[in-house]
Order: sequence, then C-alpha cells, then structure tokens
Amino acid sequence: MLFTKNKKAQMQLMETIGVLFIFFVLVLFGLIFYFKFQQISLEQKEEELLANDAMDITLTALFMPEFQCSRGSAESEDNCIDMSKLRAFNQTISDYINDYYFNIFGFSKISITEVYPGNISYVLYDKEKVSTNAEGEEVSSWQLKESTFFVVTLKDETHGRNFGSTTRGIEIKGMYGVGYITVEVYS
Amino acid sequence: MSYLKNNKKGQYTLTFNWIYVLIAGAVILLFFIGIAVKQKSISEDNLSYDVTRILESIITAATASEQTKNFVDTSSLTDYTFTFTCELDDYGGFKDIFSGYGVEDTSATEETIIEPIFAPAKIQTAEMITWSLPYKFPFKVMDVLMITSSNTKYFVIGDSSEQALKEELLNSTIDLNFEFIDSFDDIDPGDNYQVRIVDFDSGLSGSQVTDNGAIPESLESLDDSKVSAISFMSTGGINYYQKEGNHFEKLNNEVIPIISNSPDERDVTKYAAIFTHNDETYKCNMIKMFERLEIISEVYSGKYQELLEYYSEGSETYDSECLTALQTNDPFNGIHLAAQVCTSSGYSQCISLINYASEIEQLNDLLDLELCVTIY
Repeated sequence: MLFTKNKKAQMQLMETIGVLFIFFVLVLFGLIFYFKFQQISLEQKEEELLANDAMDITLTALFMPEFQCSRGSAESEDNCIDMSKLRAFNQTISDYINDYYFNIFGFSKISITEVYPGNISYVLYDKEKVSTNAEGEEVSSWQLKESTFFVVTLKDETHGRNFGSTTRGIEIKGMYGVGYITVEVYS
Repeated sequence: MSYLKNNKKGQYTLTFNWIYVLIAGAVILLFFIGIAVKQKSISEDNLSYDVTRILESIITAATASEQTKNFVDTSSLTDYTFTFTCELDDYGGFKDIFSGYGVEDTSATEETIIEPIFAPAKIQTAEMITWSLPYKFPFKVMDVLMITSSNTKYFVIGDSSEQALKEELLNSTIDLNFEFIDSFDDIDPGDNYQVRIVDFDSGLSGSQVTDNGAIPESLESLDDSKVSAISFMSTGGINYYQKEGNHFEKLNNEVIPIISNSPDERDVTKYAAIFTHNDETYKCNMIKMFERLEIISEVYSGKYQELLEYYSEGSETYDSECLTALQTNDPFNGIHLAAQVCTSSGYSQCISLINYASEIEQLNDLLDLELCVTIY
C-alpha cells in the first residue's frame, strides 16, 4: 500500500517536472522567436534608415551653395555644379571636414565624375567608418553601404577658350558639360 | 487514527500544491508583465524617435527646396510637443554651440549644429508649417528654415518703422496665421497654442510694445510662455519681449542689429526674426549662417583667384578689362576674416560683414556690366 502510494507520488512529481519542462521549453522557443524577429526587424530598419540617409545626403549635396551654379541675385540653377567653385571647394574642404561637414554628411563619400567633355573625377568628401585592430591598424568597420547616383550638368566658365569662344564671357558662360554625383553612405 | 493522519497529510499536500501554484503563477505573471512594461517603454521610445526622424526628413526636404512653404499634416502627432533650442557658447560664438530639436519629455532629440532653424521654442499642432528662404550675403550662403504652426498666431501692428516689410508680409503670409491689426483692442487669441505680436511702431511715439508695457487685456489670462512680442526699431534693429504677468519684459539689453545687405529684396533675416523664439535663439541661428559664410567666402576667394589667372593668361581686349575690374577690389579675404572674428566673438562683432558684402556685390555688378564671368 505504502509502496503504491510512494509510486503515485513519484509519478505526480515526474508529471509536474514534465509539465514545467515543457512550459519552459515553450517559453524559451517563444523568446528565441521573439528576439530573432526583433533582430530581423532591426536589420530591416537599419537598411531603411541607411536608404533614407543616402537620399537626404544626396539631396543636401545637390543644393550645396559651395558648388551649386548661381546666377547673381536670381535663383540658383538646379542640378548644376559650378566647376570653378568645385575646384576651390575641393581645396578648402579638408580644413572643415571634421568640425563642420561631418555634421552634414556623416560617414559617407561624395564624388563628382565628369562624363563630357572630360573625364575628371573629384572626391569631395570621404569619411569612412573605421576601427583600430589589434595591430593598431585602421580597418573599415562598416557593414552596409548604400550608393545613389544623380546626373548633373557641369558649368565651367574658365575653360571655354578651347571651345572657340571669342567674345567676352557670352559663349564662355554657356560652356556646360555632363557628369554625375555619387553619394555612398556607410553604416 | 491512521486514516486521520493520512487525511491531515492530504490537507497539507493540497495546501502546499495551491501555494506552489500561486507562487509559480505569480512568477510567470510577473515575468510577462515585466516583458509587457519593457515593451511599452521601448515602443514609446521608438515612437518618439520615429517622430524625430519624420521631423528630420521634413526639415531636410524643406531646406533643400528653395523658397517653398510646406504645410505638413501632423494631426497624428498632436499629443507630442516639439521643442527647438539653440544656445551659443560662453563667448557667444559657434565653437561649443548647443542646438537641436526633439520631442518634449523624451530622449528623442536631433542635433542641428549646422542648420539654422528659426522657430518658436515649442510647437504642439496638427499642422506644421515650414518655410525656406535663401540667405544671400550677397551670394547665397544657405537656405534658412523657418518653422511655425497653424495654431501659432501672429498679430502685426503699426506700420511706421518697416513699411516695406509690412507690405511684403501682407502678401507673403496670406496662407499663414497672420492678422494685421490697428490696436491691441483687436487682439483675440482664440484657441491658438501661442501668440506673437509683431510691432512695426517701435521707437516711435505710437509704439505699443514696450519694456514693462501693459499686456493686451485679452492675453492676460494666457500662460506667460505663450505670449511674446518682437518690435522692429525705426532706427533699424529688433527687440524681443516676453509676457511676465500683466506686462511685457524686454529680453535683450542692447538692440539686436539686422545683418543683411538686401534692403530692397525679401529680407530673410527680418522674416527669421519674426518666427524665432527669442534674442538668444535668433543670434545663435544667425551665427550658424556666418559660420557657413566663413567657409563659402573661402570657396569664392578660390574662384576669384581662378578668374584672375584666367583673365591674366588671355590676350583679348576684354581680358585686360575684366582683369582690371577684378583687381579693383578683393573683398573675399576680408569677409572671410571678418566672419572668423564674428563666429568666435559673438553676434555684436558681425556688423563689419555688411561692408564686405556690399563690396562683393559692387564687384560682381561691375563684372556683369563688363560682360565678364561673374563671381556668383
């Protein structure tokens, strides 16, 4: 009788342990599923933010008064780069990258490539995400990169003589080329 | 006896089982409540970050599109109060500037060290209005963003000190919450979130907004932070006022000069002053523009040097004429150095910029007149 009772109690204990085990296994599955889901949605969100950043930076770069074509007091010319200003800016920017332009462009690379008439490429801004490894060397530490391209006209007023301009500035002012702006954003 | 003992043991087991179930149930319940609470807090944080992110996109788009007014539907965000701050460093310069916007009572903030945003200190609205205008000095320095809301009411009074600006305002603010009035008696705040009085009579005998001057009766019941005023002096310059009980208190000690060289065009610096919270945020945002001016003037200095080389290499008659015009004056180095002083020493040191801007404008006009390549 005592033996039967003891066995019954053991059975009940085993049953309780079994129930608890299954319960915690289910909770564990739930947690793993939840965290995996969270991780995937975070990655998606990160990609989405990166794409947004790339668009914002491209938009900002296209309207930079530092190299956008101007027409006196009239409105600036859209999607047009003044090559004289661009060349000057290319020499100036290095003094202001960390203190100023990093706040606008963050970790990204902005370059302008001439397609016609020449094929010169200007890297205006390049700030890659880097970290220092065990050997003390700087290595790239970005995981994602989003690139956007935008076609622009390149206005060059001081390189017009080769194109047969003879009157002061009239034809020279109309010297336009074609190129594209590349914005690469790192995450 | 054995039966009784057995029964008592059964009772103990039963009680123990119930206590065990209760404790286990409570632990499990607490675990899930903990997750739910944590999730709620994360969701709230995420929402405020999303809201800031939306605001960032609105601001980027508005800054990039020159001379546009955008009416942004924020009806789903009416529970949130947006805050805008801008504080200069101890010397009134740019070096340790603290500037940003965010959602009140949350950690969701976005720094705006570069972008000047002229806005009230707080906005809680179903419709946000962004207005971007280019700041030209005389070349374009950057697009200035002004932010207001459909429930921020502007009462414009007087017409003596800035007649041209008032007329311009009348035409350009038709779609904003502006009302042009003749006296304080016409002021009715309605159910607007905040009220700003724009006084164009300041410095004259008819001036209505003065230091320690009486608050219009209809505004007395409003919270102090919701009523402010700006007055345009007949001698040039502006003053900011804030409601303190039943009177106005002047916020700035010295009159704030307007630093601009476009008296005949739409003057963005005066528009910006109307939408800005107070004297400090106005100066702070202006200093941001002068910091950009410092860099852009260096770029134009480079272009100026390139033009000098270009015309000195040429052998045509116009080359020498354009070269002479260019050599008349080199104001770019001057404006660059003046901007450096201004951004490190404070707004009061920025007045000299006006003369350099005027010289640059003259030079560009001369080049244009001689049919040479212009600087800007």
